[in-house]
Amino acid sequence: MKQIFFLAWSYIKYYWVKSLFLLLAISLVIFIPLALDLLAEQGSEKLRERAVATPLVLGTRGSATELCLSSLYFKASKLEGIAFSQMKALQQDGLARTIPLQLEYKVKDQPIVGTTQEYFAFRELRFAEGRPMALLGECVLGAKAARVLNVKVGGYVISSPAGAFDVAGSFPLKMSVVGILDPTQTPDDDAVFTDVKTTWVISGKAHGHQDLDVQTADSLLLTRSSKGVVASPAVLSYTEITPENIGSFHFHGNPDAYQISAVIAIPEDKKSELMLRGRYQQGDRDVQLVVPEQVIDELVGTVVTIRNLLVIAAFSIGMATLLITTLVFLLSIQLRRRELTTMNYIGAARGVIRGILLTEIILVIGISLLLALFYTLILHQLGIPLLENYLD
Amino acid sequence: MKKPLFVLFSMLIGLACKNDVKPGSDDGTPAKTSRKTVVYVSNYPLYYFAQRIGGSALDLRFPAGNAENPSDWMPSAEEVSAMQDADLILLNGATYEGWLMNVSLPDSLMIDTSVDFTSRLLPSGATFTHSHGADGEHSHEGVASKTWLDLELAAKQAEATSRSLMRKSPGQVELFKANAETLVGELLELDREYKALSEKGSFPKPAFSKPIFQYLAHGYGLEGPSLGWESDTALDHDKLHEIGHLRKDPGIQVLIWADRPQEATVNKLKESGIQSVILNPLDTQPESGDFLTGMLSNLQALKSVIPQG
Repeated sequence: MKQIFFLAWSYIKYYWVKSLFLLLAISLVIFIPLALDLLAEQGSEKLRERAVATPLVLGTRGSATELCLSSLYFKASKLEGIAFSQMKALQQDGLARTIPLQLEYKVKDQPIVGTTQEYFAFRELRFAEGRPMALLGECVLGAKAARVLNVKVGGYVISSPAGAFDVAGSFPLKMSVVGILDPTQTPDDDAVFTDVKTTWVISGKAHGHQDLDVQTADSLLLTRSSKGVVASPAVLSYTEITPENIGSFHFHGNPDAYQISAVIAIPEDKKSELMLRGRYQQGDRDVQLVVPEQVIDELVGTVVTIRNLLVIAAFSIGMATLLITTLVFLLSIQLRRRELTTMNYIGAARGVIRGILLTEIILVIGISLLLALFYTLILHQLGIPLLENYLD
Repeated sequence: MKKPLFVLFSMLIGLACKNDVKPGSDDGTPAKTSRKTVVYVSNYPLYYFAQRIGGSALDLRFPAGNAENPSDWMPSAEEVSAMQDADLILLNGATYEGWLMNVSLPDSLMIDTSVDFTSRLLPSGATFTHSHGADGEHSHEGVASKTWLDLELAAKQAEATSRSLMRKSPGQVELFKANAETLVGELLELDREYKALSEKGSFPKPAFSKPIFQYLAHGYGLEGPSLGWESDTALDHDKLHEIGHLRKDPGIQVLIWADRPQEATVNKLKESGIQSVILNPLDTQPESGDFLTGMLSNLQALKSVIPQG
């Protein structure tokens, strides 16, 4: 047996180029369906993981999928916002804790997530350095956002206008970076977190400007009367919130009417969740309360169907490749007829020759299997991040 | 060829054995030890209520305590960070905390002690009118914020304080409940004495130097105009003219100040037949005594201008 293995292994080594091609071809044929299955499984699991960890999401009526993708993965959405008072209404009876999300703005390509400090505890985010935002105009960066924006604690980032035709629609605000989060391999890595009130400053609902009541401001006024003053465009509206000017920042109108994109609701218990869901299922509301797990499960169901089709296609190609490989083996035996005859002449029994050929095939298929397993394990460790980087 | 095979197997085993380490699962934080409930308050009345109810069971903090006016206090980032780690933040509400919109604090920690009587909140009397661009002119009427000066409302704030403390320290419910009942009883007792001030219509017609005593005035029938006078500014001709009119028309006999006015001002007013009374609004801790003794002193100051007989 040892001799058979030695002769088979020697043949594979001697014809290493042919063997290498065979190994690569067979291992890839085995790997492709495994890879598709694994990627779909991991992708679905990652999608579900975040959805399962988010009990309820409140948002405007419309596509529940869009609401979940936007509030869980910070994907751009065309959904309207809801009034901040909707969040207060949700928490009024003490059935759930609430976390606001305002997702309208960006710093370059990184989404700004206007929320509260409770978001960090809710997602179990830990600080690599710095601290949570404390004052208006402070922000915390996800690990990837810090890398992409090339900013450290003590630096600053500037919010971008909401769109190319919205240069006056939102105020570019210089935000100081006070913390950077540990990487989590979730969409939180990409985000720029700030207090929801800071996003209202970006939207123009709140602002700070030079004091118009003091004498020194006369040059900045168009008119001054007993009723009030009319400021000229020369009045400096602050684009950065500092300890010196933070006192001048003020909010216009009723903050309860300000817009937020969605609200994460964390019910006190199962009964509270059911009560809330029942309440929001009545159709006369402008908002909807969705269970992200259910919404994402539906989405994953679609992904699984596509995956099954791809696996069937890959399996068919694999079968064809295996047939071709069998043909390669048969042709190889034909080409080696003289070599096999020589073996027979020098005393090798037919069984021994069959054994050598069979061992060669088993070795090639075995090593291919191991290679396919190796590729799969590599993909298991690096697949999703690699894919995400590629898609970015 | 044996070597590469060995390396391949080693890598396979290595990868297979590698655990999925979830970020954040390695806590590293020390085990929680029992500690006092950390409670932040935004003004002195709440500090007093929490201290009376919670006593030594609380680690009570009043960071704006040294500010001249805790309502205008602006916390530093470090102070806000410390507040984020608190167990409870007691707020006066009624727009008292002007700094609240400029900081990031978790809703779950903050308790608005005046939320139970929002329908009883009073206008401050100040109207802010402004316009931006083409939006047109619009006005905002302010809300009076020194709610505790009506002791009935102060008692409600003490009850709200007690409820939130009991929720945070379930083990101390009996103690907190008993302390709260005593405190509320004392507040309501003093409230009855205040109400007696104007029961027989004996209190002379008052005016106020500043619009900060709305709840006191409304709660105890002491309504009067607010003049917007600063205590450190001398009486000029315009002010004397104004006080002359007020003396004649509504018949103002008492001017209530929040700070000690200049001696000359007091004398000139006295010559015009108007007595001066100084009341401490008690946003901050009085130099001597506490909230109840401060309110009692205010009551005595008010009683001192009631004509005898």
